[in-house]
Amino acid sequence: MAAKFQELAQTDAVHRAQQHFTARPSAWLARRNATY
Amino acid sequence: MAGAPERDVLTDDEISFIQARDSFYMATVTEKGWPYIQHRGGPTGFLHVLNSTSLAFADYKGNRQLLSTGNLAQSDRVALFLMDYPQRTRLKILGHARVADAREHPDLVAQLAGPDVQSSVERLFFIDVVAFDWNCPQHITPRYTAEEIKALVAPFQKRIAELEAQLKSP
Repeated sequence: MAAKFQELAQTDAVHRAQQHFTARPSAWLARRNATY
Repeated sequence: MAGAPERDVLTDDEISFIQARDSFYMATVTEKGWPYIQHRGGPTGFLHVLNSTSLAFADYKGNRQLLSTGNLAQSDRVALFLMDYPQRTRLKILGHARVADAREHPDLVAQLAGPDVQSSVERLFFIDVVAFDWNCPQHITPRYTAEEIKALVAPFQKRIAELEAQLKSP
């Protein structure tokens, strides 16, 4: 996903859906966790 | 519009059109308010008509982005855009959608997916139809699938084969 598109489309709600349906954390999650 | 019904109910025309589709576009709304459109494809009829106000389809393992699924957790509003390019016809549907975990509904998975792909179903989408509208054919360029082209050229291929056979015969 291109960076700006990801910023706009990859929301917390999407992240929760990813967590629910896949054990594999997204690259977005890895970066988010590294930030906080 | 004053006097509009509570909802539009699918008639035989809409139902047969939906059942003949092998793809459609579905728009959801992101948590940040952006529209997000996704293309959905599958075998003809993969968008099932459960009744005159309900649609459903199986969602398979994919790229793991799950943008539509996540969006629907925040807002259940969807817009569906169904195209029939050869007939230059399109149908728009507005509705409320919900996503169910396929692991919790094996009976519905069996209903919405073929036996050869049921193990790949991760989610089930259910759409409660609120409204629909047909559009005019203006500006729709006729386009054909490989299967449709194959059927269209079959008579010509048969005729060519017959003529070639005639040329070869003494």
